Amino acid sequence: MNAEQAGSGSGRVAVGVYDFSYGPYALGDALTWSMNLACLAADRGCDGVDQVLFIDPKRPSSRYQPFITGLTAPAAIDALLPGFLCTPGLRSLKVLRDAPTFHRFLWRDGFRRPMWPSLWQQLNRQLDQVSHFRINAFWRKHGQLPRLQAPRGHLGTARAWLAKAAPGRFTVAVNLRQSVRAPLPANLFRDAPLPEWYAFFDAAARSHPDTLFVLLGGYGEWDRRLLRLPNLTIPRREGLGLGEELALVTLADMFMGSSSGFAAMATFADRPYLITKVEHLFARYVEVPVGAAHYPFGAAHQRLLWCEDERDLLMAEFVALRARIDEGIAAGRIAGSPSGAAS
Amino acid sequence: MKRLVVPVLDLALRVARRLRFFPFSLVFLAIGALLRRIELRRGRARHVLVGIADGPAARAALLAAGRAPTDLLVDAGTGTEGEGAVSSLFAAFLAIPTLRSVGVYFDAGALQQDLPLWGARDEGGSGAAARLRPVPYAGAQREGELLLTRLAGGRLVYVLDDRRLSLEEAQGLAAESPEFLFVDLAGRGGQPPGERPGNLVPLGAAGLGLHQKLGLVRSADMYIGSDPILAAAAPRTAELPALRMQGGLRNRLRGRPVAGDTIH
Repeated sequence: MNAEQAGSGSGRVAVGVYDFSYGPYALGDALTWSMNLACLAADRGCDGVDQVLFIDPKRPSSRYQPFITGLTAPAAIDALLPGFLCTPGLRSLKVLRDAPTFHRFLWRDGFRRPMWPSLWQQLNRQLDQVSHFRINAFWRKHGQLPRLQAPRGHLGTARAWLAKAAPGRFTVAVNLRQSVRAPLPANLFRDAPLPEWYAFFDAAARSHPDTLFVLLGGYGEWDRRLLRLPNLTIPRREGLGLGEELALVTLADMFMGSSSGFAAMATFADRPYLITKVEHLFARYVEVPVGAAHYPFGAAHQRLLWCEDERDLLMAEFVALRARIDEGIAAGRIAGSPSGAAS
Repeated sequence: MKRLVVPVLDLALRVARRLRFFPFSLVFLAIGALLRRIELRRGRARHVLVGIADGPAARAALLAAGRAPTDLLVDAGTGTEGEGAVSSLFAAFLAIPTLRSVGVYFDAGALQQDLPLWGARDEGGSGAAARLRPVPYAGAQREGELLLTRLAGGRLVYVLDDRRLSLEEAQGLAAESPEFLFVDLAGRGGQPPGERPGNLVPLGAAGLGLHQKLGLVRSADMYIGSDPILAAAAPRTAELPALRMQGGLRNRLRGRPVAGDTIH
């Protein structure tokens, strides 16, 4: 039984609940939550998924994000919403800002529908939004995974933009974590070392002139010097937002960049990727040893790097992956970009 | 006795929510659900329903939400209609203070299942709509105001947001009126600095979201465009064809507000 067959024709609907009073406002966590929900729905034979996001006006954020208050929560959810539109089979998405309304929906659905997290976990405010335990278990049981999709209502714009920006080129979606440029910097040790990436982009311009790097991330999170690179473009400068960026991850020939939200999208949308600077602490949550080249469900063209980004290593990995991707597209194992040279 | 039910439940709810673990959280859930049930029975819960395929009219409908707390339901079709419309409608929802919760539906069956829990449909048209002003969230208001303070100083600021105004026309207008600052949100591109008038600032490709634009428009002097949410937020707003009919854009802008301008 594959993931699609597992969820066919039953008429059952799974429910996903994300309560921001204990769940973080973070893209990677939102996508991992969506993936857990998709696995639950497929495993229980559900046809559709309803999602409920709850922002308690009296406790709009968890203790780990005290800087998100009642005043700043709207900005945080506005910036994050497309991350909750990627679940396959999504029938509805509710964002509730009133506790009795939330509890009425929970009372109706929590006792009779498959739910992630379970009603018991919700009542005890336990959400495992980080680990891949259930995702790996689904993989072991079914041999494949459901895939996250481009956010609803953003695929067409992204596809049209890509066809115009990169006709006939091999496209690489890139995200370089730069928390140092964020309004509230955190965990700066996870940021990508920009000089190494600049050197890599320069070298790639010479060695692979048909490659276009598409830089993803917040408007304030990139360095202006990147605008002068001939082989790099930034969709946010052309009016695109997070929804289109997530769609671009699903459309590009491959993804490269820091272990972050966009990397989670590439992982769960089953695209070719090179994820760099994976935190050693993360190993236990994804059930692989430090230094493993792949997730348990990862293919040969889906690589993890656990060390510091370094220009020669980036280039070597890019060249090797590019060869595998070209080969995979030619053999029909990998879907290429709709506008890319590789396709 | 009936009058006591809701306050007692409310007190119980507040006690239960302090103890955020089972079984108190289950009591909290039950009381919350009961309070909503009472709200629904008394007809106090209302919602506004808009269709994503309605385009800008769907955003305009949010302004008719009235002054009592209301929920917003969006019939989003299959999700392929109106590219990016769900995200932009959600941003507009966050700007209307009386809108509380939102439900976005990609499936007609799911909408029908949920309708009883959303309460009665509000058809709008109460007359309060004209006085509703969208409010950007806190950080965006600051960002918009700060941008204009730095760019404009004490000059009058006009926000151009109508693609029917050509690039040449906008540049001519700015060159003739150096005493004003023109902020161009229409994303029609522009010549590089040095080749365009210094008082015409193209921000169409600056990655501004709806709330940053709201902050900017609220602190500008006039908004010239037809986006219903931005138009409702601006201190003064006018549509381009109306301005043109009033004897020339440049002369009209030099004047003070006249009948026909929308003054908030």
